[in-house]
Amino acid sequence: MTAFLELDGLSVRLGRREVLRDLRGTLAGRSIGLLGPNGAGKTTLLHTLLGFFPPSSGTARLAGLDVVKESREVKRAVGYMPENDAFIAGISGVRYVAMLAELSGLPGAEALERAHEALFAVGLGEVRYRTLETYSLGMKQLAKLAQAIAHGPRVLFLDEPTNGLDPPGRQRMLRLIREIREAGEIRVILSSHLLRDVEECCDQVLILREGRVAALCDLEEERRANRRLVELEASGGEGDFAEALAGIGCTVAPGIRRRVKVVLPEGIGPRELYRLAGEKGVQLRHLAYQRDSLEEIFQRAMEVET
Amino acid sequence: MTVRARTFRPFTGTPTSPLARLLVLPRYAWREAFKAKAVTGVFTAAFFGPVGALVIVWLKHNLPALARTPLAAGLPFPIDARFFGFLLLGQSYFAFALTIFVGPSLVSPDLVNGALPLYLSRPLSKWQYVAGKLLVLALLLSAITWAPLLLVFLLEASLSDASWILANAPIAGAIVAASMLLVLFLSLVSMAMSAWVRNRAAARALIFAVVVVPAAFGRALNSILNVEWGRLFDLGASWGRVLEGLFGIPLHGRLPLDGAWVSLLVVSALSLFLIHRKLRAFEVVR
Repeated sequence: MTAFLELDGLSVRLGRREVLRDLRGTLAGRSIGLLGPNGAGKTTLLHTLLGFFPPSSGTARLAGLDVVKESREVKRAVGYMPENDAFIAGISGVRYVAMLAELSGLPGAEALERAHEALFAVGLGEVRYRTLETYSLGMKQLAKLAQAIAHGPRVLFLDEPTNGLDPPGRQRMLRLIREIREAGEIRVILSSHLLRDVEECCDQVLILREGRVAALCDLEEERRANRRLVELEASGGEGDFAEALAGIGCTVAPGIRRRVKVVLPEGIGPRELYRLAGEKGVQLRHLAYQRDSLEEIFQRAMEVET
Repeated sequence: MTVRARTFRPFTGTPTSPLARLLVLPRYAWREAFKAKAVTGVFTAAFFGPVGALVIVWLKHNLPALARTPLAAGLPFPIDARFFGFLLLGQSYFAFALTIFVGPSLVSPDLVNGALPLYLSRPLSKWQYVAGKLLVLALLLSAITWAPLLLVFLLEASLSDASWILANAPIAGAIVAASMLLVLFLSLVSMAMSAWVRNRAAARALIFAVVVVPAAFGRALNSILNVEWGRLFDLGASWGRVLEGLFGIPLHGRLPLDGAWVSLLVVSALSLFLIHRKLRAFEVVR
């Protein structure tokens, strides 16, 4: 996969504070998550990529474009959904989206057509003629998403897209983001402090901590690796069962509360484990793939001194 | 193809030109501006003067019609630089009123509603955004200053003989130059004030105060120090003096012309500085 976001010693100083420090990394995922606690520098990184803040040193390239030298081309390629309220007073949803699409370079008729489409796509088709002030918080978030996709960007920047949404609203937003990602035309960079959001929508994650890269991981790879790692709880003849597992090539490590962690070799799956347990007369009380991998990665990243 | 499938498709057509994108802002803002009845009222009232001037010019050249009016003996004043100067001076009051109504609604709502990141995340620079917003007022004020006055001038020129045109040709330039200066000055001040206070009502009060308060301060200085240059703080007087200089008519003769220019340019430069400082995608907390 070709590099999509390249950070080479990127530092950003705002006033006397160095908000981003020597960020380095190459990401190639279809959907990249920026993860970190509040104040880690996620939004500043997005703003720097958008050209709002100049880097104090280093460079960044997005889709092969230098974000400083080719800022205009970057902006043409990006759709941006800001974290905070971002509206144009007194105009309807459809005029809001159409106007911003026109500012992105679309001819008036095309912009209006796409504004209608985008609002239908995010589920605001029925309320598109209402002024934005009358929208609920969830509707405003969706309107912000609509304006970000209406002009057909190659890259979508989503800054805390589920902020302030109730659980159904959050699920709807995440579903939309997944649909956009899976449609394959748009690459997504999602900034969030919510692990679940990133885990559900992203295949690569850049974890920031105090303005530095704390971890960079490929969630797809982690997921593939986790498909080989299961947690087992057996009852009766655990010792024999562990030996039998080792006999078919599994690596067994003790876990907590009588559970063991088992790394499965190629070609061995749960079916074989159940068969083996049956042969040894062992009850399998618990069998689960390793989950919350991102949480563990995040915890590790937050613990490591940088 | 479904709506959704179309939505996620990239735009493959030719993007519009930077100028076309710039004009998007005034196009949308104009429609919003005229939603306010006060704006429509002032804008309409602003045409009474030029329409009256057109009637006067026409009557002057249609003596049989003039004979049926109280002005049967002819017009008591000539159609010259003084006529156009006073006409523009009158229009400048309407321009100021329109600026107070329209100016603050251009930038303040964008700042309050966090719309600036939406604009600036597109291929539109901050100064293009400023130019687009300035164009809203510039076009609006042009419609009540140089555009109708040039129409009056052209009517007079078309009805007069060549000698009038030769003698008064510079008036056309003076109309355009003085109007442009007024439009630019009012637009910059209103944008700066609304960017600074971010509140429509407060910005309106501040635009009014920028014109009235320094004028009072200048008069106080004149009285206390027994000087004349205190009037340079009076932006209205400075504008009048510049207009006088351009049209060659006496209005505020006691003010130095250079000083009047400097006072208008200093306030314009300060406004530009304020706009530069205050219009940002995001405030940086230092």
